[in-house]
Amino acid sequence: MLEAIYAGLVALFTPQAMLFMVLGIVYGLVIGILPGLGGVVAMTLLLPFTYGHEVAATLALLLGAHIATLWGDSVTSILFNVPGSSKSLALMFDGYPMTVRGDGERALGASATAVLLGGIIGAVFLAACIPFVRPIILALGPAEYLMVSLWGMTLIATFSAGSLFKGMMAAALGVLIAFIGMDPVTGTTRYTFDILFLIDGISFPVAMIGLFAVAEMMKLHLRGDSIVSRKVSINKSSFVDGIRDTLTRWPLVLRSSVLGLWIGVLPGVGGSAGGIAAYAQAVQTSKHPETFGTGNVEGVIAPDATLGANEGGGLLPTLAFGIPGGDSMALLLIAFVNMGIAPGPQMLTENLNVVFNLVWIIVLASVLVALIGMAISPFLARMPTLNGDLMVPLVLSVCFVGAYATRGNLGDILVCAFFGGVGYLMEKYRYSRANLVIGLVLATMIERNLHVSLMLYGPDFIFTRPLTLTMFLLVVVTAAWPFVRSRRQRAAARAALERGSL
Amino acid sequence: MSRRTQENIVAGVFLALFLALLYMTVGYSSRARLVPLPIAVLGVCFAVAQLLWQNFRAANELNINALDLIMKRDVIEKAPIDRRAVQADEAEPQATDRWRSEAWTFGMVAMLLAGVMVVGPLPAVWVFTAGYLAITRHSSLARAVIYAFACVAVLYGLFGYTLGVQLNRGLISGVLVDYVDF
Repeated sequence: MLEAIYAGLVALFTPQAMLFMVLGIVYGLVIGILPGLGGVVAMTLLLPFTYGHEVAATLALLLGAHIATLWGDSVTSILFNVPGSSKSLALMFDGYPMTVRGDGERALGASATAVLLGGIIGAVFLAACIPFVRPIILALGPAEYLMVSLWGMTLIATFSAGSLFKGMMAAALGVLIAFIGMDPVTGTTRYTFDILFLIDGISFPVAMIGLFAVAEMMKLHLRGDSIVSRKVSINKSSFVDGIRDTLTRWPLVLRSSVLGLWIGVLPGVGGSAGGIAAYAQAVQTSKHPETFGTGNVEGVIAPDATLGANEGGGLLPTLAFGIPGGDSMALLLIAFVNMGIAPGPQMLTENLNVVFNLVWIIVLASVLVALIGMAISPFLARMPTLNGDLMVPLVLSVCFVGAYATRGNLGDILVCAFFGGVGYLMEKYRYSRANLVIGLVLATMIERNLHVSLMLYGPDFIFTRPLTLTMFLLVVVTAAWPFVRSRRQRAAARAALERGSL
Repeated sequence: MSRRTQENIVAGVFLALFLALLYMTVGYSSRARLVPLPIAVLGVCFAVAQLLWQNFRAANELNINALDLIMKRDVIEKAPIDRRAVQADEAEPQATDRWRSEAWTFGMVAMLLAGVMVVGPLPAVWVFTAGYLAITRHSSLARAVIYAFACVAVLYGLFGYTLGVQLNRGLISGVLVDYVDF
């Protein structure tokens, strides 16, 4: 095994492998920063280049690009409230408020460090778990995936501060919007109004670009200022502060990374749910949950650590069983086939050096991304200070073109503009946009896994599967926790008042 | 229009939407409506509750935290005041200006949308960017045209050249391109 670890590292120190990794990372950062396009697009476009090169170089190109998109996606979410992809949704909740108050560079630093640490933890986990991963993966089924999705939904209460009813309405609307199109279980077309375009459903990235980015530009146009007000100093914190924030919150990084690994191991759950679940976990374990949504750096660290670790977790079922842990892992499988490598149990015996090659790529690519991030963050962080009159047409144009590029359909631009208007009105009348998107992202996963669980395990599946029951209880506890905490705080305040009056 | 009326209109739109979706959901098979039906019913309930709630409170308590209510807090004393709601009511004389600005903002997005749909993304972006920069007096017309050209070039490089996305096809230009066959 030590030999394989060494061989995996040495294979990356050829000129071709190093060049391909750097190219992949730079390319991945650019694709990540473009709204709506994420790691899947980056890897898809690189697939034609997987023929005829060294195995290590090809994997470095693909996986390097994919890992770079994680931070690239976070950059636009943090700086412009524009989701780079659906995975980086949770980054907008606190990253953008940090930018608005002048802490953009600090948020970028925290984000890059969290991705780096999450990536390293994920890679170490991947290496350590290879010998005994099989029973763990086989113990998990759709019922457990359902519980993970439900856990993400507990966030709704957090984002309903101000008006629970409005928050719930927004979430319900998000869930129902997610059901537009062909139901994959029954084949029924739902809420399509006989419009052909809607049969494919609403593209989540497009809806998010509209809800957040277009709406934000509309607000900016009305305000007539820059994203970061001219009255705010952008030099009050630096990238290093972000690194320090992440390092001093190592328990949060560890928890979020473990969650990312867990979600990565579950085939089909994906990073979108992972980011939201990580955010929920951060809120529920924080000492100051009331500050989330207003620019708490923990709201940046948790999702990014989860997304970083998600890659290592996702590689496990991909390599061990040939079952892709997510859409990007499915593309990696195609690359393996192109290179004549058959994923499956033999990967852990005959091709162990390739496995460790992947582990090292995750580590090195994460380090390189963090270093590049450190170098370019001061420049990136200045972009939101540009004059609003310049930002509005540029960002609106990028949003519309990005929306069009996701599927090459003009209808998506219509959807983007529609959600822009909806997002503006929701913000104005304080209906939580975050809740709508949480409902939108998690609804289909909940419905699909509910149907499969009912078919496989019967109507009592929650009580007949111990792991599901444990996770269900966890969901109930975390959903009830804000209420319990609120009651405790009130009791403590009342007691303090009584002590004072005595 | 008072803040309360505006809030009622928005909540009313939500209610109408949920009712329409509920009506449609009932027509689906039992498996297809397994999740949407309860969600639509919950949506109707929340919308009705919000409508009732906001019409039985003073204007400055429109966005009271229902979490406080459930926890039996002293909601009247502790109700967080929606400053924007109060400001909106206080600033009644400026309301017309605000509406005009909002209408112009929606119109701006609609114009870009119409342009993209008709002539395709890149030509529309060029016209929109140049027009916006010139109208807002951010730059002179000549500079606005140059900036717009640079913006289009970058977008073409990133999306058109690198990703191979067709960026010149709108409803009209697409037909023209097909007709001329180039």
